[in-house]
Amino acid sequence: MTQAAQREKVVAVRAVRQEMSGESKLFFLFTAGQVEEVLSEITLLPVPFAPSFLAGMSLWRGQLLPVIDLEECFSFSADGSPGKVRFIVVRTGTPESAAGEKVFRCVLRISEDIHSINAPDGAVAVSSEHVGVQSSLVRGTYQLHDENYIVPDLFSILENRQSVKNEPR
Amino acid sequence: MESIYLIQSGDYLLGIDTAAVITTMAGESCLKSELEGETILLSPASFFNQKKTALPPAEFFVLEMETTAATLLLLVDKIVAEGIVPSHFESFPSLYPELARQCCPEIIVHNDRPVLLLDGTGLEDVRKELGNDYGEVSLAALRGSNSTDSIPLPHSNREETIAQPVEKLDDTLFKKIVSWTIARYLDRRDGGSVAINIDELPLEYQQLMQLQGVSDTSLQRVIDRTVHKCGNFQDVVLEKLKDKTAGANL
Repeated sequence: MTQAAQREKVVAVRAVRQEMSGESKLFFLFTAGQVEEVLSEITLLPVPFAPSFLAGMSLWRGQLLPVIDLEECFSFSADGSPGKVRFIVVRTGTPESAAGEKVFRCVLRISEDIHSINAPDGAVAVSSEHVGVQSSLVRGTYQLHDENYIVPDLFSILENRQSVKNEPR
Repeated sequence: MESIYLIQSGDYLLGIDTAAVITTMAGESCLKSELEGETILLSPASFFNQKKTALPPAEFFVLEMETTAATLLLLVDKIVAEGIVPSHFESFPSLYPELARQCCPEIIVHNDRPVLLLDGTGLEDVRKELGNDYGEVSLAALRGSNSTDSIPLPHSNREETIAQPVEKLDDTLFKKIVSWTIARYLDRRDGGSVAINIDELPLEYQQLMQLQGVSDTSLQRVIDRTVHKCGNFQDVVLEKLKDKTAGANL
């Protein structure tokens, strides 16, 4: 990663359902500008015929947003109890994005293991297959020591209607 | 759309154009009505979740809704309000499924809660497209589960009941046999139709039958009725029912 990225604060969310054979830790990374709010609870409303990764919808500051189970979206298996959860409201782009650029928002249901960290300096790019995820849903995948990082492609997740099967769960 | 009914079905808060509602009736009135037993009611929540219909709460309601083709009887938990004037229309959130758009083409916000506006014709189109019977329950099944000569099994706010035969079994044995039948049903239903014979009953149950002077025919009738009713309930309900009846002490 570049020196600029090194100084940048990022938000790391641990993926608790998909640990790499117990050896590596897996994190989702978001820029600080993408994360608009962290919530401990929301009012979750059901959506008819929702696919398994669409937990429902929620009203946030007057906007109706989809609530996506992030690990389910990446088809991470849920062995045992998922533990406590948090919710983050995220957006595509950042507040500094070009004016007129369409902004998409959603709520992500994540593990409670969420931290603001410095962008991991020295992380090397690896293939998405190495981390065990679908490449169309990520902007990049990286590895540093025993930690793997996924940068989700929010635009692709929210706009990729191919990933939203019309067949109910 | 001048005004809507607000209805609750499971976790869904739905709105129906008042002009599309032909009649509303309390569940009890519907059960006692002249409507034929084969009349099918649709639970919107079970249909949207693509699950078999659970028993409604004790005080449910039925709305007769007009569609392009015919009318539709909706089985709902309650009518929350009437005469609501929809004002704040919301655009669909991202990832809103296409099937949901057909059934609920509009969303409003009422008292800070999103309300899905139900379109009867869209609902019928999706039912036809999916071609399954999720969400459906016959009036006969509802009537049977609310029979006055039924034994209400102890628990929460929903009563699951299996009617007793005319030749009465001891209550304890009756519940044990119901529990045993439900367990066999759950084990076998994936293989197609389920047929359970009294010859499969554990020996101790058969001996008790003989002690109580209960005929094979009566007992087979209990088993057959239980199997028939099992087809109307979700597995989670059957598991609860099985556990509660199994708790009876012999």
